[in-house]
Amino acid sequence: MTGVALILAAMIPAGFIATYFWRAVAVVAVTRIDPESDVLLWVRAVSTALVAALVMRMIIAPSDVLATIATEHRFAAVAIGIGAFYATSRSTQIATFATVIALAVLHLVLG
Amino acid sequence: MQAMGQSVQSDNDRDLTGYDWTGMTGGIRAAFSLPGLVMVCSFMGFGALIHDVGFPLLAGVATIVLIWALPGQVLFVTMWQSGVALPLIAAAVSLTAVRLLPMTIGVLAQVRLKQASRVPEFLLGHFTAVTVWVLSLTSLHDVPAQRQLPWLVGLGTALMTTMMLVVPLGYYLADSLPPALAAAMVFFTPAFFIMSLLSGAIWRFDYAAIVLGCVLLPVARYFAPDFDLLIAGLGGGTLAFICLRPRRKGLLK
Repeated sequence: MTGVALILAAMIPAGFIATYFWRAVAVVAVTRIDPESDVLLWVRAVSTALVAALVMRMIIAPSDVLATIATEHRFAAVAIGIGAFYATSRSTQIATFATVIALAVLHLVLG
Repeated sequence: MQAMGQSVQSDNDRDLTGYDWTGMTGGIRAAFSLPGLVMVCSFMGFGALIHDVGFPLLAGVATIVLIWALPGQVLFVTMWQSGVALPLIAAAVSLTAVRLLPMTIGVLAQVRLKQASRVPEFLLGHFTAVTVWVLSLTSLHDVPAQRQLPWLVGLGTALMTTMMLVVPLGYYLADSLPPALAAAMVFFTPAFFIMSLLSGAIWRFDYAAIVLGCVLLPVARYFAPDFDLLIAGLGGGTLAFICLRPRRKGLLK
C-alpha cells in the first residue's frame, strides 16, 4: 500500500468510526437521554480537558514552523486572546483573531 | 427552559411529518459569516500544520470528510506523524469526539421533527461540530421548524466543501509565506480551540477541566510522552468532575 492508502485505511477505524460513534449514539439517544446526567457531565469534563491539553501541547511542543516564535510569546498571545474574549463579552471570533494578531505583533516587535 | 432557536416555534410545529429541504439554501448562505471565517482561518492553519509535520495533503483533506472535528483531526495527524500506535490514536481521537455527544443531542433536540424519518438525523449528526453548533444556537430563530434540520445540513455541506478547498491553500501557503506569518496561521487552530472551550464553558468544572488539562499535560508528557494527552484529559477531566460536580442543572437544554 502507498503511504496515503495506508493512512486512509488507518483513518477509517481510528478517525471516522472513533468520531462518528458518539454522533450516532447521540442520534439514537436523543429521544431518551438526559444531557446533564452524571456520566455525560464526566464525559464533557474529560473531553474538555483533552482539548485543553491539546492546546497546551501545541504551545509547549510546537511544530517546526510554530517553533520559530518564542515560547513566552506563544503563552503571552493566548493570555491576550483570553483577555480579549472577556473584554468583548465572550466573542470567540474576535478573541481568536486577537490571539493570532498578538502573536504576530509580539514576534515582529520583540523578535 | 426553551432554547433560543425554539422560541418562536409552537409545539405543534414539531409534529410535522417531513422536512422541507429548500431550507438548505439558507444554511449554505450562513456559512459565509464571521464564525465561518474563523473556521476558514483555523483550517488554513491546519493545512499549514500538516505541511509542517510532513503529513500528505490528500490524507489531510480526507480527515475533513471522515472526522469533521478539528481537534480530532489535529490529534490524528500529529500522533500519526510521531508514530504512536493506532489503538492509542483511536482512543485519543475518540475521547475528544465525546464532546460531540452532548453537542449533537443539543442540536438535534432543537431541530428534529418528532414524526419525521430519523435518517436525516444521522446525516446531521455527522455534520455537527462546534461551528454548526454555535450557528444553530444563534441563527435559527426565523427558520420554520420543518426547514431547520435541512438548514443545518446545508450549512454543514457548505462548510465542509469550503474547508476542503482551504486546507490545500494553507498547505501551499505555508511554503511561500515568511515563517512568522506561517506560524501565525498555524496558531489559529489552538487559538480557536481554547476560545471555543471558554465559550462553551457553563459550570465551574468546565473551567477547572480547561485549567487541569493544560497543567497536567507537561507533567504527563514528562513521565509518559506517548500517553500525555490521554493522561491529561482523563486525569484532568475526572478530577474537575469529582471536585466540582455541578449541582445546578437545566443549563444545557
